[in-house]
Amino acid sequence: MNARPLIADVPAPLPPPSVWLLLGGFLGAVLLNVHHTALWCLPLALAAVAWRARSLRVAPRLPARCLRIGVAGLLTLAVLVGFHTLNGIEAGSSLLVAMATLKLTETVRPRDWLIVLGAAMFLLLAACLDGPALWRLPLYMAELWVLCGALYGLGAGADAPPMAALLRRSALSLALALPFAVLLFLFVPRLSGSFWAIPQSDQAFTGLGDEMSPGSISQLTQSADPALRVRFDGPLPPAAQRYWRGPVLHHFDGYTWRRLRPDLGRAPPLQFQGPVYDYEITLEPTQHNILIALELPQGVPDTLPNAYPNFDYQLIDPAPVSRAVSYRLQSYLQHRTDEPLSAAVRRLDLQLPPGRNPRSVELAQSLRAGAHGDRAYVDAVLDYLRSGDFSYTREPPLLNLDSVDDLLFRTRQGFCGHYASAFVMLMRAGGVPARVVTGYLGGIWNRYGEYLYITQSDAHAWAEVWLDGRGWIRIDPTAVVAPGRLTEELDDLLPTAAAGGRLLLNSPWIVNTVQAWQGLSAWWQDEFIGFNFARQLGLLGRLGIRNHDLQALALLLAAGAGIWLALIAWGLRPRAQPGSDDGLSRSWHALEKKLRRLAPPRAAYECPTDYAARVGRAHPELSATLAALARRYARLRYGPAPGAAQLEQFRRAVRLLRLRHRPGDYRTASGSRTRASSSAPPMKNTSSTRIDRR
Amino acid sequence: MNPLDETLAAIERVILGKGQQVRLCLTCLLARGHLLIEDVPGVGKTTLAHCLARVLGLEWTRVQFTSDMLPADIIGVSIFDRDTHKFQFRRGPVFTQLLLADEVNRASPKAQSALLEAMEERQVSVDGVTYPLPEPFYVVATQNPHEQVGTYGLPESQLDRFLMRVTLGYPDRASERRVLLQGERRELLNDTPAVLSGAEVLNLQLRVRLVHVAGALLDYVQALVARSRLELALGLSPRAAQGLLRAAQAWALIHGESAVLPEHVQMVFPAIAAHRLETRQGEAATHGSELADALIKAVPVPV
Repeated sequence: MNARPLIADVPAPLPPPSVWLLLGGFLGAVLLNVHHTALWCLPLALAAVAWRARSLRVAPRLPARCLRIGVAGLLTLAVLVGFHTLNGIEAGSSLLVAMATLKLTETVRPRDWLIVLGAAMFLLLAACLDGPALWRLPLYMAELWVLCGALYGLGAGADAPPMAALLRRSALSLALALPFAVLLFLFVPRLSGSFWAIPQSDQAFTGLGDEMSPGSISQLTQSADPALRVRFDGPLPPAAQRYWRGPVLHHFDGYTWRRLRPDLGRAPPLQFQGPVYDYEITLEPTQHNILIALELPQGVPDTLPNAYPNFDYQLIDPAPVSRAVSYRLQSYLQHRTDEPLSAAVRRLDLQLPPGRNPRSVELAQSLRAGAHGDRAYVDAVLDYLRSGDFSYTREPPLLNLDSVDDLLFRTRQGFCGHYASAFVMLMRAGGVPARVVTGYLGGIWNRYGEYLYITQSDAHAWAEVWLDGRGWIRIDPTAVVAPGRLTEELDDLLPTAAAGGRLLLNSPWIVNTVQAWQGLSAWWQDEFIGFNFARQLGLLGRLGIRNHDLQALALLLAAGAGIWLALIAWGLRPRAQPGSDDGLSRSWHALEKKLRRLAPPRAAYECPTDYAARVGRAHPELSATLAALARRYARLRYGPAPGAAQLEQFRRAVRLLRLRHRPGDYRTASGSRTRASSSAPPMKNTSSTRIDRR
Repeated sequence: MNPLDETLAAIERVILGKGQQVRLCLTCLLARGHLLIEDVPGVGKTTLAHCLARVLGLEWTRVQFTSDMLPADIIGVSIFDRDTHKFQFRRGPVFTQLLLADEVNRASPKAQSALLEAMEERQVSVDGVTYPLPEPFYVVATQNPHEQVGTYGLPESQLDRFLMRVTLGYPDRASERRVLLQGERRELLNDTPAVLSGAEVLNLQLRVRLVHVAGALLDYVQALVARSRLELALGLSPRAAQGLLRAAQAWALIHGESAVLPEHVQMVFPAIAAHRLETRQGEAATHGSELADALIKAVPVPV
């Protein structure tokens, strides 16, 4: 048979199903990256895909080479201008989208398609790196499914089966690959280090920041984005004591509180009191390097060995939190210190902008005059806030530059930031060192995941004041103004316009669903995304491998992969041909097996009678018996449906066929004598029509 | 003696040493197919065709095809009758049970195409009137291979209408000696009796259809046909597949079998496939028989 020419001058065009899958896969990859690529990427890719789809019907006129080179240069420039770099996940993905789109406009051969497909796969990888959230998982799976289908279509070339068949095959392959993925996930060593790290992005902070200007905010947005999750080993702290401490703000210019980062040495040592709480925090990316903790933690987390406590008891990690991190901490809710406040810190936390908020300074001085000692002064100011007809709102009016004056004497309404700001300012004006602490308050218990779930809308600001001989004390002025802020649902403070939606959101069914989803997401985050080397070793330990080393991992990996490959190979083993699984075929194959040593085996195209005749020519004494057997077989197989008795007869005839002397192998012994056994049943002599070959 | 065996014996008395080809020819006619006998001049093509017509007891006409032949020379012509003032159709040589088309590739394509409708539809249309041809109706054509001077190759459409193409080849030594000894073969023809008749041939055609065909065998036939379409530029048509099955049935009948076996298909396959196959590279079908053999070897027999 003449071989088909494999390489033609003009490549046969891919059939439409393959092209659709390729285009769909490419577009899907671009869409998955749309959140971090340049704005022009999606329209560009859409245009190219549409043009390409049209070329299914109309022969495409590919753009000229110089035009393509020019556009490639322009797009590179666009990426460079937009991101100031070609590196990093955003710029890199944008560049990849641009170049793959251009490749689409010059794609003629399967090889070109393969490059486009490769780019799409790489884009999928980029999307996975940047978006590990659980809800994106189905999207990634679907994209992978389509891309693998496209790969199949590409491999099959012009003879590609319809789309459903491609997708079916792709799904099967991915299902078969899943155990491999699990193996690789579990046993490939999780090397940690900056080599693997994703380049940092410079996107804007969300949630807590380095500064706070309560007066500039007229509406506190309710962001349901997760901030952190906390799992406790023991009992939870009381609801009103769940202060999650974040950035501490020291510098005030009359309007804005700033963190500043002076290095003022170590914090005075603390004497911890009361119950200890063991917990593990999973912190969502914040892009700054402060680790959130419950009140005041003892020690540093083991998983972040470089973290250290700052002079204001903040845990600082040298690397900004750009990915979700988990760490264990121990915290106490009560603490004291007998040491005096260092002069530098006292200066920092007594700082006030000169000449600003004059009425408040006046108020502070008058309150201070009536109070004996710092503690009494604190109480006096709190009393003032409590009795001053202040109210809590999430939609406060804007304040002027003397923001504390404006709040205390004009608007008299605000949220936590306003009151913390005013309280600390009054403290400082009264000579008590004080600072604003931002963080989160409270959290919702997720009973599915058994953790405390804290969102960005739980963001809170409070104050800490220094009392000599007692140390820093937390004081929450908002609690004084609006005691419900600590215990009740904040949503009640929202304007009534949102009442309907609130009702819906509070229905138990929705709450349960949301909690279950959050629990699942947390599990995904903890067990999959957060599966690091330490967890890996822990898992191996549970599997009984005490000697943690890379060799053990490699062995496990190889063994698992080998077993699974063997299983797949077993599934792919050559099967008997269809229709040959009945007893008749088995009998015939048994006969062939018996004759195996007498003559070369039957070729696939050789008819049974021809085969019998060939063996008979080599061994004339068997000729008649074999011819009759083969004829009988042919009639049973190709004649009208045989009865069970006939089939059984044939089977017995084959079984009773004895080659009396064990014959030598035809390949070695040419003159061995064989004789048909007389125990073979007599064959009905059929009309011996000879069939001659032309 | 079985009438079929008798028929074969009668033909083989005239055509010496060509048992296989004679069986194929008889198979072709029992399968209701037209026959193309192809070989160089002088190997007995016309004698074989002649002999077949006589032994089968069919009414037959011989037409020598020439390059200046017109369709009307085959089909017939309408003539104006002065007495009745009407056109009257005078039937041509095609109105017979066996049309012996000698040297069919000498005629112009126009004349060849006149045979087309007759062969496939077994009827003739002239001036809008359709005349059925007698039953059975066969065309047995002989031709010289293309390389001969002054010939027109048969178009694919017409080649496909011939169920079989049989090549005779030179006789073996013993047969040739007998030919030399016995003298003119055509004289022998006159002494050859008609073993069968038109009615008996029709009856045999019906019996061919009753030969059992198992599902496994249909699988095999389909696999062969599918393979030819996969591997070659010009594969086997559904008509060819149908003919292959019918011919295998006829072969089984001739050999006294009640069911078609794969070996029967393999026997008739080269004669049916060779003139229809064309390789992808566009080579002429000169290697058709090799292609057919290769196809047989490429398709496993279901056992």
